[in-house]
Parts: sequence; structure tokens; C-alpha cells
Amino acid sequence: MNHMAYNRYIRIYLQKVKISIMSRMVNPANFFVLLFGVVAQAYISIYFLKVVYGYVENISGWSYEQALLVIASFLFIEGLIWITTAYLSGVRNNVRNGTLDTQLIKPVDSQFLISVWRIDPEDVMRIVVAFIIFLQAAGHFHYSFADWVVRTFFYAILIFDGYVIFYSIALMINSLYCWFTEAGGMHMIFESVIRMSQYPTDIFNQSMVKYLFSSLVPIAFIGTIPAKAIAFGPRFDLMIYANLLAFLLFIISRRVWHAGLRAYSSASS
Amino acid sequence: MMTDSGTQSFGLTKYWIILKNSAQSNLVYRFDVISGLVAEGLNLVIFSFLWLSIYRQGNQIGSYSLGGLIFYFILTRFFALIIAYTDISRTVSDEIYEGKIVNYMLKPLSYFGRMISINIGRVAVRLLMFFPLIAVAAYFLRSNFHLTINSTFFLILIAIAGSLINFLFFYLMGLFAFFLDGTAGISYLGWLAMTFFSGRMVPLDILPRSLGRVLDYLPFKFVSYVPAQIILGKFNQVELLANLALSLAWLAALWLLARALYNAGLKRYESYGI
Repeated sequence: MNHMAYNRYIRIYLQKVKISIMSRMVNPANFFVLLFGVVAQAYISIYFLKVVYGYVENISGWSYEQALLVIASFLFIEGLIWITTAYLSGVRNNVRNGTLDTQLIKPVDSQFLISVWRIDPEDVMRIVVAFIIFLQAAGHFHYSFADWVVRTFFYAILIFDGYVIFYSIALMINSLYCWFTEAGGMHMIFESVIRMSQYPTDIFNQSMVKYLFSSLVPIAFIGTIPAKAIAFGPRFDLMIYANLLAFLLFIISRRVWHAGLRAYSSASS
Repeated sequence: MMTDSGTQSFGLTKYWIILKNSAQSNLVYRFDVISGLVAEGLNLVIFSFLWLSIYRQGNQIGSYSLGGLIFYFILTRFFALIIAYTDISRTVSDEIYEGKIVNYMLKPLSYFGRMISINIGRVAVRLLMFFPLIAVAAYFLRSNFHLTINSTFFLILIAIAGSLINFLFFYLMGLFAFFLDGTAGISYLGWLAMTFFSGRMVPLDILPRSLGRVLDYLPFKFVSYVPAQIILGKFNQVELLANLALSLAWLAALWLLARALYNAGLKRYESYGI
């Protein structure tokens, strides 16, 4: 893809953002209630943690502030997913409504177009809240400036990897709609699994479960592993592993999406 | 045929048909119901691991043993799966925005009656589908059951009241569509309140006292927390009576509010080209 093509994709995304904000602002009261809801949901997660830590000093070696970093990481990644792809809801909505064809005939990469089909601007609040929680937790760690720079650098890369991993899993799950239009249940299970990323995966002390959540369903990369870069120090091996996993999952998810398109039979034509 | 009694009988029949249709459509989408069960099961697994790692360190949450806490979460999730249905608000608001509600105003059919029949049909199917699972769980976890004939009687009444409270709460959220241009935000807040305040995330008695005292007077606890606590045998006779009285008071209050909101909404409602 050349420079011009990149510009075109950025322009499309920005247009989608503009349209989403405009459609939300048709009803500003609802938009602000949604913003409040997003903050309330994040607060409930923190409050839950606070209640639990009211009874214990640490959970599987994680202090309250370290566990806050896991929530912050999850919120960063979840917020990014919402404001860029809205959990890939474009796939299921277009398949169910028989409007996927209209997306496929456009002279833009189908995966890109379907990914940015819906954007939820109110979820930018998740990122704002994540940032506040991050700062609040970071205040309890007394590292040197150089140490902070290195840890934050690793953290940023791991957050990006976590985003790609989340996106890829969401795309694969949503691609199932191309085969089975009633795959709504899978989505429910996916959301339930993803919500686990809010808690340190070290609570899963059984090695099999630990392996499951770091390799097969790598939710550890959506909260715990980025948080570890700040809380316990950066690890080069983990970063390489996260990069490879993100790359691999992205390639696989793209293939699954294209396989889904081949299996898809239009409802509207 | 159209005697008073005949009319009455026909009146009940139409709601029975709606109820049956709702039950049948829930049976058709049984994959969604089973997926909901798997999703809740997975959720339960995470929380169990979380509690396990806490208890393994020799800590204790409130007055709960590890088994007691996990059993509490199994119960609240069962109640959530069976009675905590949140889609009512979206159905109601969509029908108001799309003007479909006019269809029911023109027919000899109460809109409230229709919606509650749909809800009962759904609850009945879920109860039937999950009954074998409940029976198996009850057998293996029977040592945690502290039910007497008396408390079972209260459990049934309060669980029914809780189901209706859940229905009325989200029905009310949907009725806001008469007055607002969008109810997605308010329904989202309602869902959050119901999830946390009904005790599905943490038992309400381990929350800080000040918050617990406020939640004690709100209706959310009847949807999951109170029925679970009755099964765990945590209430005495006076508390059972007090909870039943409060749940019925909330039921009456929500029903009156729903009626008032519906009537006020109809007065200002306009639809075209239906």
C-alpha cells in the first residue's frame, strides 16, 4: 500500500468518526448519559476491586495498585477497540441485515471497511478513565525517570499488541456470522471471556488454565501482561512473544475473514 | 359468545397465546439460552479462581466460607439467567420510536399485559431448560441448602416478586422513549445498576455498611441477592417477612409508576403514517 492509499484509509476513518459524533449529537442528552454510563462501569470495576482488597493485602502477588494497572490496561485496550471498531459489530449487523454486499462492492479493503463500520465515540471516556487510573496507580511506584521511560515504552508496545490481539479474536468470532447467522451466543461467550482480562491472570494458578489464557485464548495480553511491564519491570521475551502472537493472530483473523466471505451467501440478492 | 364471562375468558386467552408464542420463540433460540449459560459459567469460573486465590492465602470475605461464597455466586447467576431479562427496555423503546405501539392501542389488548406475558413465557422456558441443571447442582451442593418449608414458601414469593420487579424496572426504562429521543444511555445505566446493586458482582452484605444500608431499601436486591440469601438460610422469620413486604411495596410502586408514565406518554405521543 502506498502513501496515497494510507491517506485515503485515514480519511475514511476520520469521516466515520465525524459521522458517528454527528449521529450521537443528534441526541446530546443520550450521548452524555452514555458517557456517564461508561465512567460508571469503570468505577464499578474499581469499586469491586476496592471491596475485595478491603479484606486482603494482595491477590496472587498483586497489590491493589498493581491490580489497578490491570484494569487501566484493559480499559485502554477496550476503549481503543470501541472507538475504532465498536467490537466489530459491523460484521454481524451487516450479515444479519443482508447489507454486507454493499460494503463489499466498495473500492476499499473489505476488512477495513467492515471494521470501522461503526465507531462509538462515547467510549473515548474509557481511555480517559484508564489514563486517570494509570496515573493514580503510577503514583505509588517510585522508579527513576529512566526506569519510567523504559517501562512506559514496553507498556505502550504491549498495549498495542493487546489491541491487535483483541481485534483479531473479535474479527474471528464475528466472522462466524458468515457461516452461521445465529452466532449471537458465541458473541456472549466471547464478551464473558474478554471480561476476565480485567483481573490478573495469575489468579489462575492451575498451569493448564494459565497456559490456556496465555496461548490459546490469550486474554493475559489484554490486561495482565502490559500491567506487568510497569508493575514488575519490562521483559524482553514477553514483548517478543506478544509481538509475534499479535502478528500471527492478525494474519489468521484476516484469513478467517476472507474464508467467511467465501462462505457467505447474501440475504439481499 | 360475548357474554361477560365469555369476554373475560377471551381476554385471558389472548395473553395465554402471547405467553405461549414467547415460550416457543425462546425455545427456537435455545442456542442463545445455552450460550448465556456457558457465558455465565465462564464468569463463575473467573470469580471462583479469584476467591480461591484469596482464601488460599488464609483470608476470608465477610462471613462466607469459600464454598459458601462460590455457592452464592452459582445461585445469583442462576437467578440472573432465569429472571434478569434486560431486553424489555429495548423492545418497548423500539416499539415506541417505530410507532408499532399504536397497533396495540387499536386492539383490545393491554400493552402492559402483552409485555408481561412475553416476559412470563421467557421465564417459564428458562426455568424448564435450567431445571435439570438446578436439580443436579442442588443434589451435589445440598449441604449448602438451608431451606425449610416456611422459607421455601417465602423464596417462591420473593423470587416471583423479584422477577416482576426486574420486568417493571426495564419496562419503565423503555417507557422513557415517550419523553426522550434516545433511551440507550438510560437503559445502559439501568443495566449497570441492576448488575451491581442486585448483588451479582459481590454479596451486598460485604459492601461498606453505609452503601449496604441504602441498597437495603432499594428494589434491586430482590432480583438475585435476597433469593440467594434465603437459600443460604441467612434470614430469620422477621427478615423474611420484612423482605416480602418491601418487595411487594416496590412492586406496587413500580407498577403505579409504569401506569402513570405510560398514560402520560400516550397523551403526548404522536405517530404518522402507521
